[in-house]
Amino acid sequence: MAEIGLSQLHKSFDDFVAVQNTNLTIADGEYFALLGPSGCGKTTTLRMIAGLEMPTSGRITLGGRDVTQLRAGRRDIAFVFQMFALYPHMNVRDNIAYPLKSQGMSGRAVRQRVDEVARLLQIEPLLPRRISALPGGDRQRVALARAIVRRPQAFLMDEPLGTLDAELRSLMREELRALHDRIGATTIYVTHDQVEAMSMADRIAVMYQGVVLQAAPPMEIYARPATKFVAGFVGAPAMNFLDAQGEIAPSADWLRVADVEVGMPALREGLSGRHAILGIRPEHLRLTSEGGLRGVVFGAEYLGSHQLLTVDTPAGRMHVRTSHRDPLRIGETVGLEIDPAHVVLFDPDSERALASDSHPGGPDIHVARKEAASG
Amino acid sequence: MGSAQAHSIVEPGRLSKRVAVVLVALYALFAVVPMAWIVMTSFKTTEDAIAYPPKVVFDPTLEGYVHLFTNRSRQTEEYMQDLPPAEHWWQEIVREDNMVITGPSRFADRYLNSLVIGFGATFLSVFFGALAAYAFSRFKVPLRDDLMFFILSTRMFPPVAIAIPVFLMYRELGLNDTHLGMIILYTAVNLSLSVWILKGFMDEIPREYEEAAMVDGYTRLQAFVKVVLPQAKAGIAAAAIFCLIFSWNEYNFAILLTSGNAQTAPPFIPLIIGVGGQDWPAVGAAATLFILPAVIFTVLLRKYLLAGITFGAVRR
Repeated sequence: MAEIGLSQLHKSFDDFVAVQNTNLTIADGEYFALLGPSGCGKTTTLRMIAGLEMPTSGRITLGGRDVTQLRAGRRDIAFVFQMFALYPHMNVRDNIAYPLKSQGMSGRAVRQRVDEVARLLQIEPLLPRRISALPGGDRQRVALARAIVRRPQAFLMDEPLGTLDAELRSLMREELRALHDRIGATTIYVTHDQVEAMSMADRIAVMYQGVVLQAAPPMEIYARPATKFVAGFVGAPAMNFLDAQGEIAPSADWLRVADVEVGMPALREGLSGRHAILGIRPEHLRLTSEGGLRGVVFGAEYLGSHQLLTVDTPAGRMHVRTSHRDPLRIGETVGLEIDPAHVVLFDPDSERALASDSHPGGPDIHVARKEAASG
Repeated sequence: MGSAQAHSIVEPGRLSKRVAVVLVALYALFAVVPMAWIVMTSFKTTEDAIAYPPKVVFDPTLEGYVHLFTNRSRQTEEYMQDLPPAEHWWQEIVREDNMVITGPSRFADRYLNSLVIGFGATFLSVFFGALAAYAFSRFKVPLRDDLMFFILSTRMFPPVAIAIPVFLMYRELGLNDTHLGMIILYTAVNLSLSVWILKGFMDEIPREYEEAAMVDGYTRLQAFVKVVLPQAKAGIAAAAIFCLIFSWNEYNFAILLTSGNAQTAPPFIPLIIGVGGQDWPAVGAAATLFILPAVIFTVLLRKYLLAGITFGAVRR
C-alpha cells in the first residue's frame, strides 16, 4: 500500500493537451475518484500512473519512489479496465493466476493464492470456466480478483462498472467499496458518473479539459464547488445559474436577480464589473405563494418523496427540488425564494467561485473559455 | 442460431437455399473432377492412362509411383531371364516391362526441397509479418499509411516482372540455386500479404489485453507472445495458408533460379513427361503427391480461410 503523488504532470498528444500540469497527492489507503466528462484527461492521467502512457513532463511517485521512468510491469500496481481485458484464451483460474506467474511464483503458491482471492470474491465455482461463458458481473469480479491477487501497492480502475447494466452497477458499487474497506489498498477510480464518484470515494478530483478543477471530499465538492463547471457537473438536477447584478465587493451580502433582491453569505473579495453568476442548488429553493422570484411551472415530476419542478422565471429556467406535498400543475404561477446560506457566487470571466463567509473561493485556473461555453 | 419461426427478411427462403445448394454442388463437381482424374491416372498403367474411350473402371497399379521415384533402363529378354528373383515388389512391377531399376530418381529430393522452401518461407513470412503487423497496429509509425500502401504495392505487379533483377542480384550474392535464396525470395513476395492480413487481425484485438499483461509484470514482448499471438491465431492460420499456397505452387522463379541443388517440385514435374515416352501415370503420381500437403494444410486450417479473405473483418 502506498501514497501516490503527481507533480506538474503534463501530457500532450501532438498539439492536443490532454493533461495540464497536474498536482495531486492520493493518501495511502484512500479511495480516490477522478471525475469528469469524456475527454477531460482523467483516463490519460490514470494511464500515466499505470505506466501505459509516458508523461510529456512531470513526476509520478509511488510510496515515495519516483516511478516516472519505470515500465508498467515494475510499478507494482494493478489496473482494472472498463472492458475487463480478461484473456479469452484462458479460463478463469489462469486469468487470475497470470499476474503471479510473471513473478515466478511456484505452482502451489499460485494455486493457494488464487483460491484465497476467489473465496474473498465468492467466485470459487467459476474458476474452471471459460471467460466467454461468464455474464458481465462475474467478469467484473474475475477482473477484480486478477487485480487483487498480486497484492499490489495500488489499484487503478478505469470505469470498471461502465459496461454493466444499471441494477448490477449499483450492486457492484457497494461490493467495490466493501472490498476496498476490507483490503484497504490505495485506489484511484476513474468515472464520468458523478453518482459512482459521490457514493464511493473518500475524495474526488473533478477534471475538465486536462485540468483538475477541485480535489476534495464529496460533501465539499457538492457544497462548495470551486468553479462553475464543478458546480454544474456534480448534482442532478444541476445547480441553477442566474445572472446577478450589483456591487460585487468585499462584505457585500446581497445582489439583484431579475429585480429581486437576493441575500448571500458576505463576500470576502470583489470583482471590477457589476455582474456575477449566482449558483443555487434545486433543493435550496423554497416555494412561496407571495413574493420571491415569480415564475410559471413548465414541468413537474412527482417522485413520491419529493418532486422536481422546472419553473420559467424572468431570470431563466430553474430547477427546483421540493418536498411540497401536493403535486403542482403545469402553468401554475409560483414564487421561488433563494436560501441565502447556500448561495455560491462565480466570476463570469474565470468562472471560479468567489470567496465568502461560507466558501474559501475557487482557485485561479485558466480554462479555455470558448470550449467551456460550448461544452 | 435458433430456428426462426417467423418469416425473416434476412434469412434466405427455402427455394433460394435449394438453388444455392445445387449451384455449390455443381461447382464442387466441376472443381473436383480434374483432381479426381489426376489421382485416377496415377493408379493406372501407361496403356490405361491413354486408352480411348477413357477408362473409369480399371485395375489399379502402383506403376506410376514406382516410375516416379526410380530411374530405369530397358533390357533384352535374355538379360531379364538371367536375373535373380526380385527382392522387392517395385522391382517386380518394372520387370513386367523388361526394365530394371538403375537407381532412385531425383523426385524425392525435389519434393523435400519444396517442403523445406515452402514451409520455411511460410514460417518466415508469418513471423516477420506478425512483428510488422503488430508494430503498424500499435505504435506510432511515421508515414504509417504510406508504408502500408508501399508494402501492398509490392503485390501489385506479377512477381516475375522483377525476375531479371532478382536473377542478377542472386548471381552476385551466390544465392542462385540455394534453399536460402528461394526462402528469402518467397518470404519477400509473401510478406506483403501476411502483413496486411495480420494487421487486420491485430487491429481487432483490444490493446487492453496487452496493457493488462504489461501492468501485471510482463514486458511488451512477453505480452505480445503470450497474449496477442494466441488471439491472432485465426489470422496467423489464414496468412500461413496463403503464403504456403503461393510458395508451394510457385513455378516461374523456381525454373529461373534453381537447377541442380535447390530445385523444387513444380519445375521438375514437367520433366517427367519426357523420360521414356509420355509416362502419364508417373506425372499423375507426382501431381497427386504434390497437391497432398497443400490439401492437408488447407483442410486443417480451413475454418480460418474465410476470415483471412475478409482481412479480419469477420472474426469468429
